[in-house]
Amino acid sequence: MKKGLLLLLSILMISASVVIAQDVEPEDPFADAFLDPFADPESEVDAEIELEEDPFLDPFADPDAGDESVIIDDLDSMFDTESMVDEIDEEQAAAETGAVDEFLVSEGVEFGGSFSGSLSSGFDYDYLWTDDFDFRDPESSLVPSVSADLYFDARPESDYRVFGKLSFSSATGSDDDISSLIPDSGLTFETGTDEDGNITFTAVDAEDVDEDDPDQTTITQDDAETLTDDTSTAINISVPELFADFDWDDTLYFRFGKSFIKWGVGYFWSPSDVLNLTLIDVEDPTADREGPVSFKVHYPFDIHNAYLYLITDDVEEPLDTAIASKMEFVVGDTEMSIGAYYQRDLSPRAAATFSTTIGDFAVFGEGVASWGSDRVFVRVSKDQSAAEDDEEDDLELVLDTYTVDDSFFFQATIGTNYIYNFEEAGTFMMIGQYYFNGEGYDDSESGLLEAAYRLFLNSDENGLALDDDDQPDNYEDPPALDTDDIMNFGRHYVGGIVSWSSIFDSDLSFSTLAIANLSDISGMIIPTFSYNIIDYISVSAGMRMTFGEEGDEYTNPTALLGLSGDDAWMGPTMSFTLECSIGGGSF
Amino acid sequence: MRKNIILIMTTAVLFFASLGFVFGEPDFDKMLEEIDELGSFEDSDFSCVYTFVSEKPGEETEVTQARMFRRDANEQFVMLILKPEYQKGQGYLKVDDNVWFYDPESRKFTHSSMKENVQNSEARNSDMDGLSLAEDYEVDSWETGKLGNFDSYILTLEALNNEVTYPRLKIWVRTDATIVLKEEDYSLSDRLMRTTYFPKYVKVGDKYVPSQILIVDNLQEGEKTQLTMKNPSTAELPDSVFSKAYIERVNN
Repeated sequence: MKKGLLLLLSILMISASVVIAQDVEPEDPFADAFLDPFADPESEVDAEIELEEDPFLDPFADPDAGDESVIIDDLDSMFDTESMVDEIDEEQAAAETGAVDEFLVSEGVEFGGSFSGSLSSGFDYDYLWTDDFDFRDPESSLVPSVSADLYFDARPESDYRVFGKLSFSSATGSDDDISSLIPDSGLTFETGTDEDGNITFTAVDAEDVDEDDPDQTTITQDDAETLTDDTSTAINISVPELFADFDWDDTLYFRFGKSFIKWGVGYFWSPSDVLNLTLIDVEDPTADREGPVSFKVHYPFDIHNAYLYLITDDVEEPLDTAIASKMEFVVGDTEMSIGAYYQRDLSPRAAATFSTTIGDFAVFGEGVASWGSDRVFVRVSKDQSAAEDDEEDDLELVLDTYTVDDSFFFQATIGTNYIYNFEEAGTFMMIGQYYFNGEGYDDSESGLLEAAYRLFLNSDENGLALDDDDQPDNYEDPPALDTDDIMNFGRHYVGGIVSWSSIFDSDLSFSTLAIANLSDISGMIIPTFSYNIIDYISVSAGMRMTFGEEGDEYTNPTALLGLSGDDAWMGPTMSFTLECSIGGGSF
Repeated sequence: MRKNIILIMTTAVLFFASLGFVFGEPDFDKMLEEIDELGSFEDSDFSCVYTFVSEKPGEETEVTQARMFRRDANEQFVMLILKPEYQKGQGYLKVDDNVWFYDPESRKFTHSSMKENVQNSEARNSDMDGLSLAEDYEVDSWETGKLGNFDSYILTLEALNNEVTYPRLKIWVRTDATIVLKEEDYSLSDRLMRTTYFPKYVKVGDKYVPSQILIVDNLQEGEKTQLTMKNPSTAELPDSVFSKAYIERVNN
């Protein structure tokens, strides 16, 4: 009895421990529950067993003080009854289905969703650790944000289900940065019509600009600043999930469509995760990531699982389909997996993961080996004449791009997490992870990342690119850099988060996130306090401070991307944020 | 004469036997084992719905509801959170010492073992496994008494190891059936920390399962919790219930 009781109590307390009650009727359901605990008005599950009327009347109710007080001495009177055991007919109990299908079938279509809103103000400082640093002169901003998810869930049969989720989010804020993306001479484009009657916009080279041509339009930096001086708001709508579930004989389970996919075990980095379309955001590692359109086959056997994925994102013909397989198996208290991924245009790879426990620490790890790499690499071009001849003198280093498809690459990560619950003082949590990126650079070439960012924005500056007049018949453009090619640029990384929640049983929490690229010794530290003021309103105050040399990965990535203008500060930055979350909840 | 001897011997045996019954000490080790086994369904599956209502002064009442499927013979269970709405669809799968937590938002399973904490929560997996009165405690003293209308053994238990949360317990057990009525939990300094009442049970077959539990925090005045159990069933569950596939299918 004790074992089973504690088991259920513990689990429910786990759930309750993170509850910020949002789903409770205004009246006090607690007192009612004691009057008749089996008549929960909120219950969605029909009580099929009617017990006799409760022998005790609200033992917590003090007639003088109302329902809020507790008269502990009176609770013994609950046992002033002749019977406290209700016998359930054994055959009846055994005949119940156990409600296995209760959650698999619904008569109608269920709708639900969630809402979140926030006001985030930021105060950004450049010129850290220099004489030009001025604490009284931050660049301030205020960003209102709202987002919502709406889902439907249709379950006409126990073996068939269709689920879809629609996401709405606001894209709000000052667009001053757009002007910095426009060249000093302006951006000219020509409008026209193609053979199908569609309107076309074509960029016009500087030497072809004709101010008298009515089909040409030029936007200057001043135009952009005028257009975007005010805060603008747009709503983004996306379909993050839309899929159908069905099964064969309760043995093979299928899912076709678009859904979130969990493939690896890493927290900040997960090199074995080859399915999701985006990398983990190290500053928001728990954020949902878009998955591909895929067909999943899941075969659970005993405690183990086997998966097969056919991934049909960006395919033009059947042979473009990617195949991924994984088998999870449990040995003792360790869960391991091995998997493989193949797509004819990408590097084949094999991966293994594990999660286990050593003492009080959970330990996880991943290893990935691939034949070739999908990364587009950069190296310093032998011909630097373009940089030497650059009139504006902002092209420092000419790079060539190349790919590697005839050697092994290896990536691995290992991490741990630890949680300690202080009695009435809150919960301490720590997660740490190291990542070896065999596709990364060892930082032996100074300024390589900064030059790669520039090449990412100006692909025509590739050292291997030839002018139209010089291109031979079999000419192919050198591979272009993608965002994934300039992220995780280093070879060694570490990340960690330390948090203390419910500090001394209050609504105050504290966390610090730290990420570092050990190859170029750059990183960031983000301490944050958060406080739940009332239900549906909480505030958080934090600081984000970066370190590293100019042009290093985490020192000032906004400036690397050119979003701060040509003459922007490239060194470490510091910013303070104050965010108020308002009205968030599920329905 | 021979009949009289047999009669005397028989009477003597019954007398001394009755003396033993009256003055002898009940087998408390066996009683603790029976309490441990009371809600354990080794011969059948078990499922039910639990509702957990918790109240703290100055805070909103928290209501959590969950559906539990158990297969004790294989040390397996599945728990699906039904309420509150924003946690609906979260699920736990336990097989032996392994626990997987499923988050329907990210569609992620997180594996952990019974040695560590569950899914970044403050509860430890070992809490899920529960303690064993027979293995973790011994009876230090006992007396008889009455709780309401029920004659009871009042047992004071002392912990046998430091793994348990409370080093000393006092439990009230009915004398006519191995049913716990009340439990008091004490700290190392002998301070009453928590009192738990078991005013209602349901009997399914030969098993007694608490259908209502009241918990009073003796340190934090006004903090109280009620747990109710509904829809008990011992029907055989498909093997597929105790799998990641089932939890994935039932969530939103």
